Amino acid sequence: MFYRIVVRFFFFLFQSLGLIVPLLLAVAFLTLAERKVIASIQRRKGPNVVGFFGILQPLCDGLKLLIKEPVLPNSANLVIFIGAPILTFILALLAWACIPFGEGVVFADLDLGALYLFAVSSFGVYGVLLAGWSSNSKYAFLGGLRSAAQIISYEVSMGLILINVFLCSGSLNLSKIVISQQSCWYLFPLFPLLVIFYISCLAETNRAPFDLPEAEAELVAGYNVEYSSIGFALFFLGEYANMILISVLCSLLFLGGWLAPFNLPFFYWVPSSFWLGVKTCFFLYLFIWVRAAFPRYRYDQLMRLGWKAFLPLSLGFTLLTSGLLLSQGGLTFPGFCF
Amino acid sequence: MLFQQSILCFIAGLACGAGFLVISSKSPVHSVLSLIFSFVLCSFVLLTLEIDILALIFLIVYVGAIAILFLFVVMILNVKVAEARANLFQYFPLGFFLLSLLYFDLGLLMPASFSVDVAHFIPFYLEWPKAVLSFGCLESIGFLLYTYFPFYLIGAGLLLLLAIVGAILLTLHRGVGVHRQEVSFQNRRDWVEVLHMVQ
Amino acid sequence: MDSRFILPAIIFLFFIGIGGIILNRRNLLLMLISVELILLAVNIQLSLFALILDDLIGVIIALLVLTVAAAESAIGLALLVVHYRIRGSISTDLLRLLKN
Repeated sequence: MFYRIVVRFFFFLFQSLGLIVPLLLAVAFLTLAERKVIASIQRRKGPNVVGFFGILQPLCDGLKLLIKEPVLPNSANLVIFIGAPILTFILALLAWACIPFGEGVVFADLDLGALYLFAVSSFGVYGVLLAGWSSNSKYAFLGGLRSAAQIISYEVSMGLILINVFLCSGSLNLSKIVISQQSCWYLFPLFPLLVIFYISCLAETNRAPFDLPEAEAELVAGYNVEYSSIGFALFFLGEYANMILISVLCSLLFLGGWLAPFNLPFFYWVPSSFWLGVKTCFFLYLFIWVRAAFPRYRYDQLMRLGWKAFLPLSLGFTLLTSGLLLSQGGLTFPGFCF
Repeated sequence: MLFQQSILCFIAGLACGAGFLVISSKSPVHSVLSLIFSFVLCSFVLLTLEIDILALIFLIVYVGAIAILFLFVVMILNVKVAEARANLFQYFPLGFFLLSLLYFDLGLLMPASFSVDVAHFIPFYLEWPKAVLSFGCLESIGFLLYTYFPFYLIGAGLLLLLAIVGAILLTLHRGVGVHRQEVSFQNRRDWVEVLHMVQ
Repeated sequence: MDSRFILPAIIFLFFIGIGGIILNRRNLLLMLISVELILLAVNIQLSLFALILDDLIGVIIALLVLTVAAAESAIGLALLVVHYRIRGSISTDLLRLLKN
């Protein structure tokens, strides 16, 4: 009995570490990739001193952040001030539990996996909001408020788009959503939704061109202006882990996850998670390209885009999808036939 | 089983403690934070009892929407509560008496009234879900909601619409000196009429 | 699993909410928060009853109460903001005044 508990504990531990350690490595090298890609878009070289082609640069940056002294503002609400980055980081890791990397390669195969993801991502506001409030600084506070309003506004249309995908696949389980795309990726019938979803994701992760919460021109650095060393590192890790998560989610929902692009037998020799990686890299590259190519939105434009353009569009598309599916008899009701 | 029950008791006790912090803390931000904590713990209670869909919906709606709304308003308004809580304990004795009376009435009698076992009444207690089909919580709730209670669903939708319209109408503040962007107006402008060559 | 033993705790949460309304009668915001607490307790109760009685209707009612809670908080907070904008405080003492 005791032996089994110990074995299960270590199995659980290695499973979670097998998820978290590659994730942190991916975050580290994503920062390097971002700097390199933006540099080449702007015709610079980017980091190229540390290691071969600057490959050790993220490790140096991380080490620098870790060994610096954390500065705690005198008037800050200390418990919340320290807790907010930890919360952000934990939530960014938590969402990865139900992401399938291949058929059956998943930490927790939840039946309501997509709903769980949505719940965890809606928690993400708190880290930003609490960090902005507890810093007791005007810039941080404004950044936190902006971020909260923005994330909430775009979450609505994200939820509606998720409903479209659920309608098409008849399940909330992410593995089943991917398997239901075996014949046709949802990219083709739901292409406008993919565009809306991706832009909403940009706003959801506070990335350019919607990076108003940390607009350096007006708000210095937004909600994390008072944070230094490890607190800032945790925010940074959380933000980039969220970026990778959102890219994985996009490829799971619309690009057929781990499925090979064409039904060629040649492609089945490649391990399935490789295809997920390729699709994720595509979306991550889009994140970086958008940051390098587009100017920042103004705040009222951002709100108008969310409420007056995306919300009616996704709402109308939900009606259209459900109507089409109903008329064609495509609304699946698993385990039950009339 | 005992392990699960003790965990449930612990979580519910924590939720009650968080609820007590909600009504007793000095700063409204702290009370909203403990409200959030209480929401999360209650959703854990539901999760432990395997009503997973409801637990996740509670998380999304309560924590992801309502509590953020409260936190937002509290942070923006920057209220000072100290003066508002001057005579806190004016109504305490009477209220405490009535509440404890009601609590012993409800809290002791209500669990006892559920003591009948359903299986005791029905001669052969068949678990239909397991016998016929394996529905999840989500499928059964959706089936029930859309088949038997569609009007309640539409009513709830109308209520939410009313809430949206009401909240927007109440708080819409049309300032005088505020510049607004009219996209259609900008698009309608013809550059030929606007641009003039200065000699 | 027998979940009857959890009922007193949730009822206690309900009464904490009512106590919050009674004790914080001056503060509009805390009253709204207490109403939220009450509705939460009611929701948990309803879903527990659904579990105990093996009947899903309780869960449906809980969903409806959830929408009521969301609508109530939105309207209540909008009223609160308007009140704060006019009076400059959120104390309920000023609610009985018609003029300044």
